[in-house]
Amino acid sequence: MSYGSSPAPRANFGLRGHDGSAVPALARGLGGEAAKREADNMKRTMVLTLVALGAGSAGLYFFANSGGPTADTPRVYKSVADCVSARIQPAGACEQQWNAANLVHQKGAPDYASMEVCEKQHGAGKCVKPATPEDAERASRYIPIMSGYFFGKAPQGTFQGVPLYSILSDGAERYRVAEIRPKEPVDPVNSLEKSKTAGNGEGGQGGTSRTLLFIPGLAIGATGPAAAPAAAAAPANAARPGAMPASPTSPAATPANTAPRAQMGNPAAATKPAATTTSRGGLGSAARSASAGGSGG
Amino acid sequence: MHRVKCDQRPNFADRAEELGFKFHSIDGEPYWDETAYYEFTLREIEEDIEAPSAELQELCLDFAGKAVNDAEILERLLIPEQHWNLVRDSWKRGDPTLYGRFDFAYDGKGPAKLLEYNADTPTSLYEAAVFQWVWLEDSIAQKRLPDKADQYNSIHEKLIARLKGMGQKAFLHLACMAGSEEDKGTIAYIADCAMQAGHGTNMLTVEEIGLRSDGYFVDMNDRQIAWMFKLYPWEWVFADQFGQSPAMTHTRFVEPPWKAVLSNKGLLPYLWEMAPNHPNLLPAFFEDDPAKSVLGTRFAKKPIYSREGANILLVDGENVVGRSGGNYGEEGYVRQALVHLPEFEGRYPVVGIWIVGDEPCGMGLREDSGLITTDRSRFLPHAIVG
Repeated sequence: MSYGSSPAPRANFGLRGHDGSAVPALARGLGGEAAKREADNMKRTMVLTLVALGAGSAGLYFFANSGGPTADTPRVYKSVADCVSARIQPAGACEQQWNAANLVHQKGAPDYASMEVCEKQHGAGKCVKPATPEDAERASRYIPIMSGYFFGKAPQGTFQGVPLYSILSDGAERYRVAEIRPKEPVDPVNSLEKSKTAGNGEGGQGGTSRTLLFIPGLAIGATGPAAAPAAAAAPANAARPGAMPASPTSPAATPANTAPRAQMGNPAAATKPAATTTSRGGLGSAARSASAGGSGG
Repeated sequence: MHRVKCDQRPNFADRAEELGFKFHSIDGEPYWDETAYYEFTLREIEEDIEAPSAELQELCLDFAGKAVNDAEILERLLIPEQHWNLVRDSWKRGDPTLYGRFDFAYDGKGPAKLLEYNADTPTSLYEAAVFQWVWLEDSIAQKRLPDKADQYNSIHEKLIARLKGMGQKAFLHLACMAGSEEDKGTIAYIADCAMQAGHGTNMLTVEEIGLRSDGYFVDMNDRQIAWMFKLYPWEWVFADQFGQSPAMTHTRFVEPPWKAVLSNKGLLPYLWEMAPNHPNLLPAFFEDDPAKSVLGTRFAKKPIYSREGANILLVDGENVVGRSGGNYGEEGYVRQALVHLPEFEGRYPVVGIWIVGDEPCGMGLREDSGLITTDRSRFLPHAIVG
């Protein structure tokens, strides 16, 4: 194993400004990311998300079960003590994250009608009565204890403490994530607010839109039906408050691009003459003469 | 670097279904193959593959900056003169590139040798970025690989980050040719990443793209196409009727027009001229360049616009060791020194290195039972162990 060896010297990965223009901010961002990754010696994606491709319409989230030495690296912590002993962030931050996850846990933990059913799902000794039940109905039920939390930053957003539960899967103990369970009839805007206040941060979880979270090496868990269909249909666009930092690398920000790009994201604003005609089929003919297969390579 | 035999995951079919991987078999033949994987060391990845890829990307960008302003080079690359301004302007504006793939011959011993650069319409992206990644995570969880196993693959997060940097809440149209499940899968994946980067998306086929009488490209709903990802090669756009229209200057493309100077086998002789004896380059010449004689009788002859391994001729001494059919070649050829792909248990892998933005960030291997890698070759996962 050569994980401890120092990485090879690298070329400058930054975007070049064509024709001498300033190096865009994205390049600095990537540089920072690349530098962090060098420190981690971790060569793969931390959090893998699909919002439209996978089965079902609400998206898939996958977390690599690997820790890195920076505070932002997405990582599973099994307890405050686990977080402290990882020596990645100060003890105070560990406690804060645990508490944030616990808040989500108290409101959103799955519940069961009996201790027996709960333990069958989560293992012996892993279930309790809710400490701060919202109502009498919840007070009569049983919830699993929180067995850890997930914390970190990824391009998709910040995960500010996602509670984890142990679950028995084929006799082995694994972990699953909490399901956010809105009690009220679902209103997409309201549930968005709820997910924010619940500590899910700037949108990594997309509010209640997820149906499945998978923590490889640790867990597989289907978190039930999508609770907010509207958010599920467009999770990236609707359920991502504050997740889009402005970036000077945007072509739209380049003066030369202003005119055509002003149309982007607001196509309805494109001025359309009163009577236009549209012809089709003027692209694709070269393909037919060149190749029967796909255009890729 | 080793080829390690292994069993297919018991949950393979479920995973393919769950992850929307619809082209794991093509025409009844398996395309995704996890009955073996390639094992690398971190040193091999970082020193032999990643660092040279970054260096070659720099070299390619140097060449692009030179080529767009050089009539002789543009002619040599067969870019029609009426499109030179489009190519040049896109470079001068700094229209950003999303991705590309270098293909290398690499055996874990000598230096990786660049076979070609798929700079415009590379595919096998989704299987490298997503399905391969989940394979690794499953294999670790199922104790088939050690906990410390890793993969050279941050393609997914780099794509999202890059797309975030390419505009704010913009609307991206994505187009590919009708009829290819693989191409459809590729643009669906890029659309997914674009959504996660905050953009709106709409997918269509290139044949459906409309040219409106006011001079704009439009989709099937008559919505203007201001920004388009096209899985359709630039040389075909240049040859198509709509490619000649003024609408070409109103749309911003991914990949941008300047990629036409890189997604071209004519790049190979120029790279060799710029960096002769570079350890990761093979000597290469245009077919009509007398200097090609230094290659003697060991060479690969490739059409300037060949894709998916079409119309390649491999000559080794008196023997033709490989030949593929296809409809390319009228445009001219380049000749590249012959490098035998390494053999692993009767298979010949090509190492594809993904560039997102300008950063190499992932790898996918395709192997074939012959020396020419085509769209029928199989994709195998890899792991970094040790």
